[in-house]
Amino acid sequence: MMSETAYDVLIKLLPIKLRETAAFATDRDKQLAEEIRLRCGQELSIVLPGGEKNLTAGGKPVTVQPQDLEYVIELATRSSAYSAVESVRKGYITINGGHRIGLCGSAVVINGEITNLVKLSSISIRIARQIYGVADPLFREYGGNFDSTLIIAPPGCGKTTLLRDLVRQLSNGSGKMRPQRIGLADERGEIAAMQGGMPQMDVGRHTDILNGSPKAEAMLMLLKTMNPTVLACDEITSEGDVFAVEQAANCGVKLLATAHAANMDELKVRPVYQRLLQLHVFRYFAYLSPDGTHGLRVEKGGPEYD
Amino acid sequence: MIKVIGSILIIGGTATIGLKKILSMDNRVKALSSMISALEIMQSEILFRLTPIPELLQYLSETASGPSRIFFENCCREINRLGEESLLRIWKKALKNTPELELHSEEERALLDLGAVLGKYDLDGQGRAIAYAVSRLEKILQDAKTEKQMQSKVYGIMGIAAGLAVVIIFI
Repeated sequence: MMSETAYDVLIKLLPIKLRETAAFATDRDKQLAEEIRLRCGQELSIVLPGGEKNLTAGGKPVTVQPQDLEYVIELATRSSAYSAVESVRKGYITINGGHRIGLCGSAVVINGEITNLVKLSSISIRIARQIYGVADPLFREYGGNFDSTLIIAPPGCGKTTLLRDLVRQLSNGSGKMRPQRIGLADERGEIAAMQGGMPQMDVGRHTDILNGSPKAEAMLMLLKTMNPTVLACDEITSEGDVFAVEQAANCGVKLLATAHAANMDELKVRPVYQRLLQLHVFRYFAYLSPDGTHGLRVEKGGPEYD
Repeated sequence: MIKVIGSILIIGGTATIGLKKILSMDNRVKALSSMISALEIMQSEILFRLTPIPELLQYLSETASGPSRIFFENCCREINRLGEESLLRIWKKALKNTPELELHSEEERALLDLGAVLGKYDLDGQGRAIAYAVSRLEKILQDAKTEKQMQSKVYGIMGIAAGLAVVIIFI
């Protein structure tokens, strides 16, 4: 008998009718599923490496209703919606195990800022997994000398999984490389999946985690207070993040980060990343293949900027 | 001799009924006070620490005083069933299983109304819902205290007087 997969755990968040249908997925699909998708008025589906697939219970599809989404949110927040309002405002909730629930609905905008999401229309439950050794190709490139690394891939290709394994191996030491003191800015709680002060994901023995804080502030706080040799964060997206990266780099700290893009050309045309590349902070660029196989290509150096 | 013992038993019995009524009023005041204090802690925990409901109920089951502590202990026993049962259902069941709260219909209504919105809205909504429940309970507490003050002597005297009357009439 197979042990309970992350998929089996996550479908417990669904109302009984959807849960029963989701349980009909094959064992292989349960193992490979990257997301569970609920869209109001549409069939329940899962995202597999090859694409999205509607789920049926013995051939019978099930349609998602608005109250199903409310049920998921109530369970995901453990009947404590107020505790998640700040992240709901940003469009997601992170739950135990580091799994992320992405949300879509009607935004409540006050003074030009989104203050809440109401009348939810769709939910994507992203299944977080720890894959040991996925960063091994990078360590072969490092050859005992780690240097700042930017992981580049479109959404859903395994950036966070790769970052988590990199952090773990750097923190524990790997091969000829001595253990590094890692400061991890885990804004969305997906990398370490903290619960009660304990990481639920293995991020290594020498990792200090600042959970839930905006990246830029978190990186500067870690820099000032925890004396890291490496600073790690997920998804550099704003000017503030780039500023924090620049500050850290000027303090002699190595960096580990991820960015949304399919390739360097895409990265170069976006102003935030142009600035980042001009800083020449990153020495290694790791590209993940978009097919969900965690195929990895590593480049040393980077584009030339004056 | 038998008449004397009988008289004492009758007067003792009716006096006990009066005393029980006084104790019940006293317990209600204590229950309301302890519930108001617990809800004030709940409000602070939610507003300032964003404590999620399961942890909050656990905390109150350890720190609340008097009958409200028993209520929160009863909530905690069922909170692992969240998902199979709604929070409101767990809250309702705990209210039903805590006779120590000496609930009258008005305070039961106030607590049920709070249970219906607990955990469902943003911080502002939660804060206002708890403050409203507290203000309703405070009003009820004030009335209960006045009632206790006015009625406790009456019940005490009536208990003994009723016993005396029975003794005089029948013995």
